[in-house]
Amino acid sequence: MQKVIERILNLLAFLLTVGRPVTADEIRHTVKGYDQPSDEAFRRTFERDKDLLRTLGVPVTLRPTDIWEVELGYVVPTDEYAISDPGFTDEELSALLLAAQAVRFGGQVTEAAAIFKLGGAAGSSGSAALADLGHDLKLLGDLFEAVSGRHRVLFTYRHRPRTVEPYALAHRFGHWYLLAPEAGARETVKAFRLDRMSEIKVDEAADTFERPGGFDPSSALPNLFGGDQPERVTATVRFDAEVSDVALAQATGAVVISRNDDTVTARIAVSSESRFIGWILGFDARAVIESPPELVTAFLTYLGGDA
Amino acid sequence: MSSERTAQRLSRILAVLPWIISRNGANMDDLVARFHYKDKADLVKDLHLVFMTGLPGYGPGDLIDVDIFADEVHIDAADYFARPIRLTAPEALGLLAAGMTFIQSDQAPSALVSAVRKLTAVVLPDAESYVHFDVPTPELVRRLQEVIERRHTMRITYVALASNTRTVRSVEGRSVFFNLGNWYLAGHCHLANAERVFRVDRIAEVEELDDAYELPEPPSDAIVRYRPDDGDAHVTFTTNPASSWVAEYYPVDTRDLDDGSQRVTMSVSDPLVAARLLIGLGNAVSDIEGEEVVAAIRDLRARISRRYAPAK
Repeated sequence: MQKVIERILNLLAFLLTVGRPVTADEIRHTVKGYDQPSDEAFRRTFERDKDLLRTLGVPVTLRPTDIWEVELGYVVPTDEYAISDPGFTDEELSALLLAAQAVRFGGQVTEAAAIFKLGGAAGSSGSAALADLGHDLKLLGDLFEAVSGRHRVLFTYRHRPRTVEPYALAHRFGHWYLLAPEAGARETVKAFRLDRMSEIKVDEAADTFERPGGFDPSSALPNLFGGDQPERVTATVRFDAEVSDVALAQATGAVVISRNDDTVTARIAVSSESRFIGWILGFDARAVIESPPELVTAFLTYLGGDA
Repeated sequence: MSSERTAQRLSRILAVLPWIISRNGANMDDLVARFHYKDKADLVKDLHLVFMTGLPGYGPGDLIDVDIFADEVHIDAADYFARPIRLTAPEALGLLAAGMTFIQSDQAPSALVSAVRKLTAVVLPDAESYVHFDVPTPELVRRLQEVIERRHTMRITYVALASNTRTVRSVEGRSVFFNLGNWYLAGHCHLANAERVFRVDRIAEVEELDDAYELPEPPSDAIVRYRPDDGDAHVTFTTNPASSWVAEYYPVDTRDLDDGSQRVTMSVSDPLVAARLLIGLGNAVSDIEGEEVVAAIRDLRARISRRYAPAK
């Protein structure tokens, strides 16, 4: 490992100082550590080193070596290479480290390497989790890059291939969404749930679409009892006392209209029938929808059987 | 050596060098703590390695000059490493998401708020318009955390998810965490005499008791994730294309059918919970098989229907 790291440090030092694109051949003959006996062995070593630098965030870029563009060489643009000093205090870095350790992504944590780049912070590893936002950090990273660099994203959703222009990534009620209009239908920003997207590919070309300024992600997100119904209806629900306190705490904006020892009756705004029904079912037979009649009928239809 | 360990070591070296160079030297103890080295010897190994590298020529004037004197490290002839590498996309998103989640849940110290502000300035100005987190945090979450911080046993009234029955139990809290859209309290439950996880939105009442307890080390990392168990019931059903996400949510086994629908088999620890899920999907699912779940659906239907029957 020692030799590998020395060689890669030499390579990076050379690329950062040479100031022009250099060919693999020149690297082989100039940088210490690339004296592999065969062309094939050199090529494999060099490819691996280059990939490793890229995973660390080093922009190893291919550019023509001269104006005739017959030959390509590698360069690390110094303006893209480094992070500009954000001027964190030690207290800020410690707070960020603690947060990074407590927030998981499908069990993964953000590597301490990220904090090291910002200046490092003393801290114990293994603090208790505060949240797991789910999903794979690698995929989220790719989509974050697509959003911030305005790359188109291609994927399959509900059995249909899609090409979208991603505006934002959002997390709500335990799910990640990509907020994006489909290419060619830019009026409607849709919320695609990440766990329903498959065969995801981020287009390499950047800056391929215009993004409206001041886009508000929450405007394109589904609501708890909302989303697939244009008009809100108000439901009247009678809860058994055993579940009424937790039910009312969950239903934001619920208004209690009557209460006795056994039951509590409340009005609740509903704009997604299906989500509301799923929620009511969670209380088993301890919640009864009293009105409106259409909602009662819809609920009994879901219930099926001989009801 | 695995390439992952090589990457980690190299990445740390490329963060330590700028720190030392841009400050014209650094204290070894500070470096060990800040960059999570095991000890000074561990750090010195990395510094010795750097000493062997530099620019073509690789003579005395070309190699990086590392000077360790007493507890101070100085580095010369390596100004090209004076600035740290930019964050990768997963790193930037991971830090932003972590910071913004704390801020959302109203538990961020002021240092974190300013850290996130500085971070967004570096990685993505106007980040709120690109990345959005909704971690709605009920007041109870803060309350539970405070009781845990004081290491006081709490008495909670809990409405069970499956049975909807109320129990009163005393719990030594371990942690409060957010997962899959819900907040949970994890702790040692005296009633069950075991570690248990409770959904916060099902806790009806909390009372702080005077009994103190010790938190185990390391802190338990209870995250709710369903693990199939031999004793589980199985259910098989067909979903139409619009609701095939059900299979991604609770997958065990799926088979694609010709018309775009899927035949899904899943194992469930509680047939009643599966029954509610399947009824909630309405006509998006059909051909349900699996004795226990089918029975649970039948019972649930009967229970609910009784409550809608006209009064006699």
